[in-house]
Amino acid sequence: MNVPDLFSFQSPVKIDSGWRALENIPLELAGSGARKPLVLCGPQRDGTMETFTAAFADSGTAVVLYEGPPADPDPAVLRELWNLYRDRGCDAIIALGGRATADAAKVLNIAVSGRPEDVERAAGGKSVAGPLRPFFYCPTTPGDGRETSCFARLGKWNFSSPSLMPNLAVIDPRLLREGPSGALGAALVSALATAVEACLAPARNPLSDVYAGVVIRLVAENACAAKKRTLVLAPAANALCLSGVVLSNTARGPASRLAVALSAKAPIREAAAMAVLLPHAAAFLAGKHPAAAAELLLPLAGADAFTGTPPGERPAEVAPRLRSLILALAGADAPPASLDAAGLSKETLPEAARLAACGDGGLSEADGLAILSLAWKGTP
Amino acid sequence: MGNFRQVEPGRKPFKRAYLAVMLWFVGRSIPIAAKIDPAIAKEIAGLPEGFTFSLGVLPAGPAMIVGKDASGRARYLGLRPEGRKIDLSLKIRNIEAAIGMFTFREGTAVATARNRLIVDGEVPHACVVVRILDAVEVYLLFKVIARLAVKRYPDWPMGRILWGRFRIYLGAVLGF
Repeated sequence: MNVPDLFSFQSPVKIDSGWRALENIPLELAGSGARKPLVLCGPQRDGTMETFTAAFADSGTAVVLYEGPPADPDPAVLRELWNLYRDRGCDAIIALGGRATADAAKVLNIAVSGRPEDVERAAGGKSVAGPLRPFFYCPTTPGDGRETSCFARLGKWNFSSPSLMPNLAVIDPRLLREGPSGALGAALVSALATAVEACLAPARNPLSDVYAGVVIRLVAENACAAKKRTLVLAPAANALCLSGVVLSNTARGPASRLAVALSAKAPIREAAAMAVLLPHAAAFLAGKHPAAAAELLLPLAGADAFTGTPPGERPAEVAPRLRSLILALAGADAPPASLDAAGLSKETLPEAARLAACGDGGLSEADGLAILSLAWKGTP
Repeated sequence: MGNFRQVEPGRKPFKRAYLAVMLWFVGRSIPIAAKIDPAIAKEIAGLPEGFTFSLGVLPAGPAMIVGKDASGRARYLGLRPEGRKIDLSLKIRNIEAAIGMFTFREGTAVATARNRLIVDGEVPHACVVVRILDAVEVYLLFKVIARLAVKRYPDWPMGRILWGRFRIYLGAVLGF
């Protein structure tokens, strides 16, 4: 195992996953020194709230439920939530929902751990002061993986701090629903991209490899059951929670950067661009880091396929496997075969490559353009 | 201000009552099982003198306490661990996990593997207690149910199980 001279990896996220995992929340709250959580509830289906509140029966723990926080709460709403938290004597926050609810809870946690003014101060990547209040996340849809990450977005503000990561993610299959059509497949492709790029990153370390490997295995092993979505919701939610941790500990790779840049410059959604770009970015990175790419084939293809592939051919096998996996995840919403097929003009590629390029040894403009050109043609 | 409401925790009186009866019965069965079963007696003998253990449900019970007295015999010490010195405390994380265990949908080993039990004390002592509980469950339950509750159903003669079951039920109910 290759251990870099210097690396760091931080994951404060504990995962409680499985049938009746919700019932563990009161004990986990007590372990965090909390007795009364404020629960931010996103839009829920019938029965979800009853299941959630029933988990607190016989625990002696009262909860304050705040239903329907706006997807994009403004500072006035945040102050109201801060008042509610303080007036009701709350001492922890639980986000029950998806990405928007988790982001609102993260930002609220900055406010309730200090003062509402701290939110504006912490926006824009400035440091978040000190440890925050206990924050638990209960997904009701698998989400997009950023819920457990160190990132949060609130309107024009962006926040980034390891303190924002939830202390506990509770994945109870009784709460999970698939969400909008195509959202789960897109989220899993995004998680896959995060994990694959972490495995192929120059700054990879043993722990990021382990987390990313688990994400890839969870996605790959459950993709075949994608037609029966309800069967894969819990593994998908686990994969997405872990991908948030990976995302928090690694720099964004070329596929992620280029997908964002393309969606900003051309009429293509970020998820579709990611689905087209990822195999090409992986092939590009595999050429640079063949040993890491060879290891990546094991979680991606499974032990049988890994051992059945000659060692010298393993790096080249990664991109086709990724493409097949992405097609399986997409199901009926198959991504275009190339950027050309997606209707993108070749003239937009240099601009996107320029936008995605970053300094300090990251993605160069020439490398980005090379990946985009391959993806435009659709080869391999 | 959006919609908010405070929800007080509900109660599960029937589940609590069921668990209290089960724990009471298992607790009273252990000393009798130790009298009639040499294997259980040997396990008890291996525990330190004055050793006390409890098996309970978080956050607020019910529970059972069993101890070893100065003469080396196992004693059922009641349902309340408050004010007692407990050497080994086995705590089930919540009432639903306890119901799963005591309705035999999950065996002790499976529940432990699923992190439903918190052990506060020495692990070797916890292993002894789990072996004692498994043996007592074999005596108390019909084979079809006991096989769900224990890791491996023992290959004991039928006469040993039936006679032991009769003695334990009689002793646990009548108190001798």
